[in-house]
This record gives sequence, C-alpha cells and structure tokens, in this order.
Amino acid sequence: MSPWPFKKDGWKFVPALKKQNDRKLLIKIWHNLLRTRLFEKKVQSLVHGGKIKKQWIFSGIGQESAQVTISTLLKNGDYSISPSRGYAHAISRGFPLNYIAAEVLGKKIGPLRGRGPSTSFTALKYGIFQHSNILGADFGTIVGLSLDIVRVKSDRIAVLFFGDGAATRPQLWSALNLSVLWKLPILWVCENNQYSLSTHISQTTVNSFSKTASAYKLAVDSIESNDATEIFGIVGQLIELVRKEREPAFFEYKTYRVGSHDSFFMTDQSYQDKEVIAQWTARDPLKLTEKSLYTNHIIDGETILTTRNKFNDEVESAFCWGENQADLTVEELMHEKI
Amino acid sequence: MNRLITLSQALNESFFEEMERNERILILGEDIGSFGGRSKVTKGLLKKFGKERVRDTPLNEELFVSIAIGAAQAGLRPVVEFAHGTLLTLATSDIFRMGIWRWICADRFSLPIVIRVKVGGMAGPELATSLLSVFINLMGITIVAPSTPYQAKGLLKFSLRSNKPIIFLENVWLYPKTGNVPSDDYLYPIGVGEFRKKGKDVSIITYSALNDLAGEVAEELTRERISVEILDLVSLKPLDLEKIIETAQKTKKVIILGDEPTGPGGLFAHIYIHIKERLPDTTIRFFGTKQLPMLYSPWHKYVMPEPEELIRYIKLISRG
Repeated sequence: MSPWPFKKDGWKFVPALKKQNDRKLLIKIWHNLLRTRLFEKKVQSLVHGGKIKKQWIFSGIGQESAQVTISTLLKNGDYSISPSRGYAHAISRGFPLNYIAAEVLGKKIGPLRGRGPSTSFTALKYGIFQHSNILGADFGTIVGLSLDIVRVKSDRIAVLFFGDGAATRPQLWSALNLSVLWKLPILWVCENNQYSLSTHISQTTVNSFSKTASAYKLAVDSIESNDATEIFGIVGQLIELVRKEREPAFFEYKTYRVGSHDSFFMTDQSYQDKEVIAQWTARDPLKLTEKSLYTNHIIDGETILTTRNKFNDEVESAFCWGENQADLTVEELMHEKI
Repeated sequence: MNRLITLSQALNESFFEEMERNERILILGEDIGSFGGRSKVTKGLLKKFGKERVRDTPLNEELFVSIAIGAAQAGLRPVVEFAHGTLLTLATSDIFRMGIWRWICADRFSLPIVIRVKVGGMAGPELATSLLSVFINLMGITIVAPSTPYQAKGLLKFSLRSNKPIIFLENVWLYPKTGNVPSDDYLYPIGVGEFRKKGKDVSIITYSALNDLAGEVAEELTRERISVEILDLVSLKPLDLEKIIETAQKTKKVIILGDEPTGPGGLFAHIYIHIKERLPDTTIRFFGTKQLPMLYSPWHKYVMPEPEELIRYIKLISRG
C-alpha cells in the first residue's frame, strides 16, 4: 500500500482558490515560478555555451512548485536555508535577479564572491542562509537559527529545505526531535526528487520520510504533486500552524528530478528510466500550475503570454547587467586569509 | 582584591559576568542546566538566566556545532559543552566547517562560537585520549587551554567577547586546583603564553595540566643546580611565537611536553618548525605519552610522560 499521501490525524485539507487573497498569492507564486524557470533556462543555455566560470551548477527544473510556493509565502524576518538546487528559493524570497546572475557569471559583485556553491548563498537582509555541501549539516543549523527566533516573542519562523538524500542522514532525526522538545517554529521541508545522485529512493529508505517524521509528534503532511495550486493549500496551512502555534511541522513533497544530477560532473542520466522522465516532464510544474490557474479563470491566455515576455526581458536584463560588472580576479579569490 | 578560588569557580564566574553583560550568549550541553554541569562550571546559570539561554540537551554531539553555527549566523553567541574530548569526533565535519564557514559565506557574518571541551581525566581510552593533533591542523579555528584559575577566568571572558570560533580545552584534573583571581573585571587575551618559571639552562614548553609535572621536574632539578624555564603556552592555536623564540634563544635546549604520542602532525611539529626556522642550532625534543590510548585512572599515569625519564634527559643535555 502506498504511503502517499500521508496525513496527520484530523488534518483537514482546505482546497485552494477559494478566497480572493489566495488568488493574489497564487498569481505571485506563478510569477515566481515563471521567473525561476526563465532564469534557470538562461543558466542552462550559458552552461551549454561554455559561459560559466565556476563549474558548480545544480538545476531545480521540474521540482520548483513547492520550493516556490513555500518561499513566496514566507515573510520578512523569517529565516530559510535553501538547498543545493536553490535558485527558486532565493528568487521567490525577493532576492534581486541581477546579483544571482552576477554570481553565475563569476563577477565580483555576486553574493558569494565566488566562494560558495552558486545556487545557495547568504543574504541576511532577506533571511536567506547558505546551505552546506556536507549534506545533513543544515539540520543542526536550522535549530540554531530558530534559537534566535524564540528569544523574543514574534511570529517569525524558520524553514529548512533539504533533499531525500540528506534526509537519510541521522542528524535529521535528532534535530527534528529537538525541534519538538524545545517547541521551535521550524517548517521542515523534504524535497523528495527520488534520487541521491544515481541512487533511487527505493534503495535508501524503508518508510517515506513523512511517515517516519510522524513518530515525532508534530504536524506532518505530504503530497505527490507538481501543481503549485495543490501544494499551496497544504503548505499555506502548515506555515500558519508553525507561525501561530510556535511549534514545528514537517512537509514532504514527492516530485522527480527530470534533469541530470548537476551540469558539470554527473551529467549522465542512463540510470533513469526514459519513460518515467517523460511522464514527469508531462507533469511539469509550470505547465500544470498555469493550466490550473487558467481553468480556474485566474489568468487568461493573453496574461500568460505578456507575463512570459515581461519576465523574459527581466531575466535578460539581469544577465546583461551582470555581464557588465567587474570580473572576479584571481587576486580577489585568493585575497582573504582564513 | 585577590581571592583564592578553584578553576571551575573561575569559569563559573566568567559565565555569570559575561551572560549578564551580553544577553546574546547562550549555552548548550549535556547536564549543564538543572544539574549545574558535571564539573559545576555552569552551576546556578539556569536559575539566573532561564532555560532559553541555558539548554540541557540529549546526547546530540553530532548536532552541537551545527546548532552553534546556526545560532551564531543569526547573531547569537553560542557556547557548547562537550563532556569528553574525543566526542568532538562526532562533530568533526562541523568543526571543520566552522573554521571556514564565514569565509565560504563571503564574510556576511562573524562566527562567535565557544566550544568548551573537557579533556584528560579518568575516563579511559575512548573518552580521555587526547586528539589535539586532529583539530590543531584545521583551518580557521582557535584552540586555547588555560592552566590556572586566573587564566581560565580571563580567557573565557575574552573568548565570550571574541568574534571567532574557539575550542576551549578544560583539563578535568585542573577543575579543583585553586589560584588567585582578582575580583575586578579583567581579560586574558588569546595568543599569549605565560612564563610559569624563569630559568636559564633548559626550557620546557607545555600547556594545561602538564604544567604541574613540569613544575615538579624543575624543582627536582634545582637540587642538581639546573635552572629550568617553563613556558605555559595557554594558547595552542595561534601560538605565542615571541615567547617560544625568546626562551629557545635563551637556553638553546627546548623540551616540548605534551599529552599525546609524538607525531608528525601535532603541536610538537608546529613548534619545532618555528624554532628551527629561526634558531637552527637549538636542541629540541618532544616528551609525550606512550604510543597507547589513555588508560583508566589510576593507570593513566603509566601512559603519561614520566617525570623520572624527563629528569634523566634534562641532566644529560645540560651537561653536554
């Protein structure tokens, strides 16, 4: 019997698209989804054109729906740690495209100064914190970040995004335990794209992560979907729960990594079934979300077209701006002593 | 005014004063709250500062340092306690990361973290063996090891105001030792060693609880009219190179006394290279433990450096 979807007892799913406010939010989510996609497509074209300096690019194409939805719903003052496929998170939290483009292009003004992993960086003003490439290290880090939040009364929350690969590390469960014991307002978000590099999820865990998490006495929900309008209903409630009740919650969404593990080292996808890739490509987050919004009369065909053009221009001008910035020099890379 | 207090009381006073002074300091660890710490270093802190600043944890060493990194990134000043030195191995990846994390994150923040580690003691091979060599070679980390209540109080206060990640080694044999500590506010800076005894024939460079052994040896040798100088390093990373060179230049005969087996990558090698680069004619010898893990008390003394052997050697080189 499939554990999907796994829900906490008494947890009610409120369908999205009901309230006017929800409609506005859904449009915002769609905008961020579109922005992210166009940005990532541009990055991919630069990869293929040999225009990338720092060879460390992880694409999130095909699994952006929950990343974008959750990040869009966060407020100023919330803390989040993005995972390695982290463009969607930063863009949806309002971080300017220009600077991310500059980082991709190896410019001095980029948020990482060439040092960190391109797709995830620290921007204190936006509450964005960099993830560690030592997967699993972030579980303790989010606990530490939330210790700052609970010092004073507020409705701020902390969100950690992590993949199914990191979730097999034992630190997840000790950190999750602490978050419940200490009543920390953390939303744990497991982005289950089914692959730890080439190893399929069926070879790494006996339970779904949400099922294991449910043993820790916290609100748990999960969904297998790429449609942001479906995800919105669940995560909206989970975020509200964490914000109001000041306690953690766990969310897992099952999606699929349609692309290769990364853009430089492990580009071989021979271990993935072509048919499965095709099935999930047909369930593309952007297509599904646009379709839902269209059939619910939230957007029309013309809006889709004009918005696409608008964001295309936005992305192009971000890279154009980035291209005009000063290059990182070897001296600058080597300048700072630890 | 000076008072005679123990090293653990000295550390306890530092916490009370600094946590009062800066509300961003919080401490985490096993048995530190309601029990007051296994060595009573954190006694009374929970009652005074509350459970949000003094948190008892489960056995989660694998998380301690990453929690500290998270808290420090958000602007807090976390202190974590490891009950045994070797338990640092459970957090090695985060200790490595802690040293370079500010740099990786493009200097967007500083990382004021103090990792208090109880070292030495009677807990046997798996818990009490020194792993200093493992951690001394990691980038971006400061390591200190006070040996007197005066140093301990001032150094902990300094560490709690520093913006760098620090490993603060507390040797359990030293907790009950008493010493004079001023009641006024004072700091003991990082990177500064202390001459525990001045002499002219032979130098012993050492740290932490081994200062007592060095003291005994020096006293024994005064009967033989050999004058031994003892340099207490206090700061193991960075080293007080000025004082190391000063003593080496004076005596030309240096013994480095440590609580690890002689190894190519440890403290001995660091000091050896510094002296040899500047004073190539200096005689330098390392005295460490046997090539064994630490034994349970009271047999640990068989593994530790033996005073008789050290005395024999010093006599030999002083006459040569």
